[in-house]
Amino acid sequence: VLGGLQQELLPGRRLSHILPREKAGRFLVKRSELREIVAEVLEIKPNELNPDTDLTTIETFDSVSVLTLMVELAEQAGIRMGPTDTRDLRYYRDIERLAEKQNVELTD
Amino acid sequence: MDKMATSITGMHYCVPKKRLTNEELAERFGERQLSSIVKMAGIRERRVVAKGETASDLAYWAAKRLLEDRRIDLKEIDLLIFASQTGDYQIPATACVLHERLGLSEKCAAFDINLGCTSFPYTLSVAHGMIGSGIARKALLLNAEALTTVIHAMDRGLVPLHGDAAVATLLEPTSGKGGFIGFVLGTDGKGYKHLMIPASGARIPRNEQTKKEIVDESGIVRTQEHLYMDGPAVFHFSVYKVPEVISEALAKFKLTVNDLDLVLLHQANKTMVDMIYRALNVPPAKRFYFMEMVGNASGASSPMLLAEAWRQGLIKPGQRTLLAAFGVGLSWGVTVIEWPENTGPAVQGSVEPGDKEN
Repeated sequence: VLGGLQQELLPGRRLSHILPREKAGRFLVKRSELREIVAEVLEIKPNELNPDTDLTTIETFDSVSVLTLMVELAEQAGIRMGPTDTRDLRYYRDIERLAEKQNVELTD
Repeated sequence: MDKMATSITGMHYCVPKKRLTNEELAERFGERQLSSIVKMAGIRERRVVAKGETASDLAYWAAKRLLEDRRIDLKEIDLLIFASQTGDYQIPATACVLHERLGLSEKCAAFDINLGCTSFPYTLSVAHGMIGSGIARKALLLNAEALTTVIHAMDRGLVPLHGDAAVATLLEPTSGKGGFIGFVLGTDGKGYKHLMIPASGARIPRNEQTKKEIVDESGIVRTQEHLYMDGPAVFHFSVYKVPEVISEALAKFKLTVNDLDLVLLHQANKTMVDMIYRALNVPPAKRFYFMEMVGNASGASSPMLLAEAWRQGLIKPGQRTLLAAFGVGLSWGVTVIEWPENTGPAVQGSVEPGDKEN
């Protein structure tokens, strides 16, 4: 049927369940929460991610999951991933470095 | 308000009869391969042209039904603009083909505008300027796209997003209250490569090489003769640049989101649209979506959204609607329309092509 509002299409979509907390102009995000965000996009377990994890070797890592990663990092952790960042993205530590460059403080 | 006001006096759209569902795409690409993009896009079904059907065919039906509904004397139409990137021919302009097919007068100017997702605000502004300067009186604007004809069937990044459609809009001078509060148009040509068909014109002539299939590291298949999109670059532009230009436009028009009744955004994909809405703090009651059952119809997307909002009774005289489109170019266009008192009801009826032309 054509027509109709679409607000309810994605009811299950998790929106900002991990809201970055702001402290003295810096966003605070727990390292474990950041791992959760990335792991969920890549459909792996968070403990499979460490700074040296080569994301490009993960089966689900592709241009579509990179786009999803851009969305989720922006929405849930306040991390902006630019086109150059996505091209350079290889290791998990690249995401942590990107966060630190953008005034996002990763806490334990 | 501009000195010489114009207003939209009628709209109607047409989508192909053929449907492409997520179930069919899951068979083509595999369930898992498709799931993330389908979740992001918020699209369940697309309307796609059949073999041999073109954007101008859809435009013809949208225009025919609109002109009949409004009981327009064809001799009165003195401007026809066809805006598309999937015209019938490279030469001549498809507007000339439709001029003949619709039976318009020799006194009607007809030309094409080659723009994608932003074609509607651009087309409106051109016709608005031509009517305002006395060059034309009654303009028929046709925003049509059959992008699925230039997307490789195995491009799982683009196929799930796009559908085909055409929208006809009548634009006329208005003496009463209402019309366009203003236009803001812009371009970032540095991004022209982010959405393009490389071998589609004089720069890279088509040959055996351009027909060769390329499979990227994600398994996406295309040739140089098919549409390419740099997803991250387009996404970044859309969610960070577009809210900025909309805010700038509102400042120029001396308006805020509170002064608007409806905010309509190019239906690129639902996630992207929602991110822009949130960046602008647009409350849910002022949002409207129309892509779930039709897909992203490129240049036909934003006018179809407006036409459908009108059909659903969401646009009322005196209300202000902001319309923003963005994409190929990279380019953007923003306008705010104050809906006039004397526009009449929306065109209802079939939105699919008819069986016989006459």
